[in-house]
Amino acid sequence: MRLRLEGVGHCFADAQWLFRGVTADFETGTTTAVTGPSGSGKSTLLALMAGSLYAAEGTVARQGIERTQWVFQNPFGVARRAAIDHVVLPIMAVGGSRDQATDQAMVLMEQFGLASVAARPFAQLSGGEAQRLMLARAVASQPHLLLVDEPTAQLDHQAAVTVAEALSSLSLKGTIVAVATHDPLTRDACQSIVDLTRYATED
Amino acid sequence: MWIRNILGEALRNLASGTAHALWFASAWLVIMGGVCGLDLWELLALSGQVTDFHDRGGSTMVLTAPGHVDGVACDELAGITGIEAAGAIRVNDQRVDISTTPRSPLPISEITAGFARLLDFREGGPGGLLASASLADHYLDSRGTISTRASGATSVAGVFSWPDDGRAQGLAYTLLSVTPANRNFDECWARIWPPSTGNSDLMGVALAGDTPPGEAQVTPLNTTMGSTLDPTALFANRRTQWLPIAGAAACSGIGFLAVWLRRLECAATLDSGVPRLALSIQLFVETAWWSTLGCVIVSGLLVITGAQFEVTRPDGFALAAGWPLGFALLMTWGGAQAGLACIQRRALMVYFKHR
Repeated sequence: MRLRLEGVGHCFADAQWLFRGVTADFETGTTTAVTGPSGSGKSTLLALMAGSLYAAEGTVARQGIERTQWVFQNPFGVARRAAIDHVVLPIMAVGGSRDQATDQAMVLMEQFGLASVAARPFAQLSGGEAQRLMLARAVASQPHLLLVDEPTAQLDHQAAVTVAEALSSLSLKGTIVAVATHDPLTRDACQSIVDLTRYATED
Repeated sequence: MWIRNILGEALRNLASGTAHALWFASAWLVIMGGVCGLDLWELLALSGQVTDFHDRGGSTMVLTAPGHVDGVACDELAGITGIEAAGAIRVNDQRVDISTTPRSPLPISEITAGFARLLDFREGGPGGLLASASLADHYLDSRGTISTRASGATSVAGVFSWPDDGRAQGLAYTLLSVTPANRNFDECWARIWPPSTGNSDLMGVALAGDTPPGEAQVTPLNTTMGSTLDPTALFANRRTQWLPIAGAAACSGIGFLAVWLRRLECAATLDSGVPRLALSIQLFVETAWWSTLGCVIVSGLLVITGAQFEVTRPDGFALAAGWPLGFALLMTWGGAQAGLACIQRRALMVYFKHR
């Protein structure tokens, strides 16, 4: 499974180029940070990788990627359902009993430091806990491509630290992980970096 | 995804308040309670109008052919489906001179037994005359007799109600004497229910063979009620006939809204790998729960309302209220499924941005 960007550039309508000539390889088991200042096209690059946008130039080669999961900068969940229910659902979706799914979900919750809040309704989670829960839910659905968009943008420093730690411990054998961020803490939690400031153009 | 897990998800959403079941059940209750209430109010009004038409003689037809009505044939009309009662009447020259009223002798008309049944009279003493309630009020004594100058006390066998409600008032001031039917009479009366032109036309069989052409005519007993009334058409064309349809459409909207308001949650569920069919079943269970709850409460309220108004036809009452409720349930479930059909997994980001 592999994702390769080759000479990728993009612009919207008559606007100027966001970036041009991006070339990068994304491998499974590696978490890659897509960095750059606000407006540099980080989220756009993730959308090109997901296939929900087509590049204005260059090629996006996706090999063996069938399931893509997004984690957005604002965590969202079902307010009155327990935190663990969010992780149990994707596991149950592929078959098996709720008890089995709950056991697997608890293992994941522990990995993301959420075991103590498993029974708490989503609405009562802190920002950091909610964002980590979104990561846990995304991982539970075993995606081939996991795209995380500014996971710490709306969080305070302490909460951002917990999310960055969760990202740094994220080592998924069968998943390509890309994280759009302008937060140095999150960037440092990743194993490789695609810096869009290198690909910015001035028309 | 296992069906047990799907049902479990639905129950958890209901129990946690995620499905907002009580809110939607309340909305359903208000809409369909209002619809059924207004429709039944109109139906009760129409029912009163129909009963009025029947009770005030609107459905009683009078075949007039002086001296040419066959009494036996007229009585036998009551055996025809749709004719509740029939009988003949003849005015004769006989008078009763009431001893308490010096100068106003009362006429006596001869009637067949069928005519007596048509009057639904209240039984008095054995044998004798029939008198209207107004005559009885004036002249009937405590022994059930009327004092006459010629023969002393004349017994009254029965009293019939004959209100001044627009019907021909002749019988109010006439004493009636039951006589054998095997002779000719002046009029044949038939209470036809439900009103039917065909049965009115059939009254012609009560005419004697020697009736000159154009001699007979058929008119309603109470012309102020109109010449005819069609209860079925009245029901079908009532002012509230479209209310159940409008209510069901509104319920469909509620069903749609109940799912569409959760589009981000549903798209995320689909994005988590849950099959669309599984989500469809889950949403059906949730929608069915709150809509059925609303339906049960509305039904209970209607039963109580029906009891208050002493509905005489519970089957008709249930039918009138039953199909709008059943139709609204189906439309609610359909609306919810339509809501799900409009939710696309790939639009997750759009829903998220517009949440």
